[in-house]
Amino acid sequence: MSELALLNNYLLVGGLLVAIGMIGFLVRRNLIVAFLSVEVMLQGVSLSLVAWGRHHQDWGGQLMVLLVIAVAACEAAIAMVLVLMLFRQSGTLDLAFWQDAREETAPRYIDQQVPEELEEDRVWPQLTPAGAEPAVDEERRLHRPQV
Amino acid sequence: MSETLWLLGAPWIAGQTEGADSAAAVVAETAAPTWRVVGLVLAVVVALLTVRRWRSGKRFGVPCGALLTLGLLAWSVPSTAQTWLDGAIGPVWRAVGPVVSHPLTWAVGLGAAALLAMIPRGTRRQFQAGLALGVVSLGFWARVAPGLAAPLDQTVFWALALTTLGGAAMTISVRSPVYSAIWFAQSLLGAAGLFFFQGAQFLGLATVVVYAGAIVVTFLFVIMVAQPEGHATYDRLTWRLWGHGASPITSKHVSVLVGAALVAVLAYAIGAPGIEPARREIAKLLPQARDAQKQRLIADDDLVEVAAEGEGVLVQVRGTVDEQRAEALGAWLAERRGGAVRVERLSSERNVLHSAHMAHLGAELFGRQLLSVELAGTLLLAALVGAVAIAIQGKDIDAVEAPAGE
Repeated sequence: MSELALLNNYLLVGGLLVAIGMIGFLVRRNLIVAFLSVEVMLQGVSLSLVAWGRHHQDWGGQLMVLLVIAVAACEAAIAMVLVLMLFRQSGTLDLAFWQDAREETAPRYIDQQVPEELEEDRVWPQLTPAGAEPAVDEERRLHRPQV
Repeated sequence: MSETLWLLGAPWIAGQTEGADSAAAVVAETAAPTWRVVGLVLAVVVALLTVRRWRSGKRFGVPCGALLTLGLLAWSVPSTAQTWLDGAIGPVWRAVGPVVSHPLTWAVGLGAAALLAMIPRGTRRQFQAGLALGVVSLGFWARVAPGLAAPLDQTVFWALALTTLGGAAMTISVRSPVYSAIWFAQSLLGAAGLFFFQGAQFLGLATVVVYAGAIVVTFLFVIMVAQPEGHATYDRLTWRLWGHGASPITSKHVSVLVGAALVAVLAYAIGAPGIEPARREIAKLLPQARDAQKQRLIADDDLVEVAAEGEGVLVQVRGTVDEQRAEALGAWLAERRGGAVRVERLSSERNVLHSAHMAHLGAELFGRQLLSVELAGTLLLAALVGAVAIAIQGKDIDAVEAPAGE
């Protein structure tokens, strides 16, 4: 029963990816991370589609995933342009900046208890210095033995 | 750990209520003496390490150590102590045992707790605790998921699934959006590996080239242009359910609960019997189907689908099975099962695992699904034009036209 076991495993992984993506989209306040979570959900769906395609010996699964990739590309392009426009108007990637677009009955979201950034987190990636020029011998440069 | 739970709950799940004899028999037949000694030794070692950690003042990991010790003790303890345990907690266990000792409960519960700890939080310790919980929960998921035939297959699949799921969990957990994009790229690599594992080679390639190579790079370009200064506060916070933030229950808890419920229902439904009873029944009969020379008529993997056809059953097998064997199988099944059984060989075009994968995928894509391809191309063009239109909307068009007019 290896084929059925393969199907079950892939459906489990796909379902977990969809759940993780959904949680990420609902929880994060950063525009970019929210869109990345949606892409994670699309990956989960792709895995499930391919698994069902193999189970039923139908090419439709893989064709659907190709179309999903194409649509995800279009969606990412438009979404990124919109994020850029929003950033230009607001100067921040925070979704809470645009909360005036909420329903009338929903209360306003107010930041409380903002945690202090820990000392250990206040670091930036260290890059090795580059572009060092080699030491030049001025004597040799000015008075070349050969021309 | 799940072994422990199974041992504790076994007499009631198995339906035996004798008590001492059944519990002893269960323990005797499941845990061999050498393993129980090993378990005892491990329990003592873990207990000593836990006590040492507690003494040195570091509290992190002590509850895990204590739980691990108890679990190992419960697993390795001799049968007399087991029977006492059985008697003491019997009635309670009878009620909740089957649910609590099912590995699926632990898998989903620990995974949800892990995600809760990993999503933007106050401290780094909480994140590490979440990671540890996630690892333990993966162990339970491995128990829940059915095993593939060959151990090599299973190992490769687990490695790829771990890459994919770990990358996805980190995508939603890390604070910086750049790190998020990189973790998503890793998740895509794992998904591409899973596509290759399924035999969908073009899709694996397309995922790496298009998704990880173009879409994630687009995300990174946009982050480069739309960069907040420093580590933003909103990256360290999550939404709250009610605006004033007084409630301890945040959108984090509710969304994780909903996600866990979704996954639990899905996992339970996948494993539950009764979805395809006819298919399971026929698949079980296949290994016994032999011809006069005692050769197997058909391999397990060649069974594609079982469908109802009138009063009987239609069995579809792969095109690689030859004609005579298919007919012999049909006759054997009809005789064995009763009722009409017709065996149909699928054409090789429908064989997704064909060796000329690209040729068949191309034939299918540009033959039967040509309209979809053209529509997808049009959609891409529309998205491109739309993106440029939105971006250019903010610019001053007159300044561009003025120099050309002079």
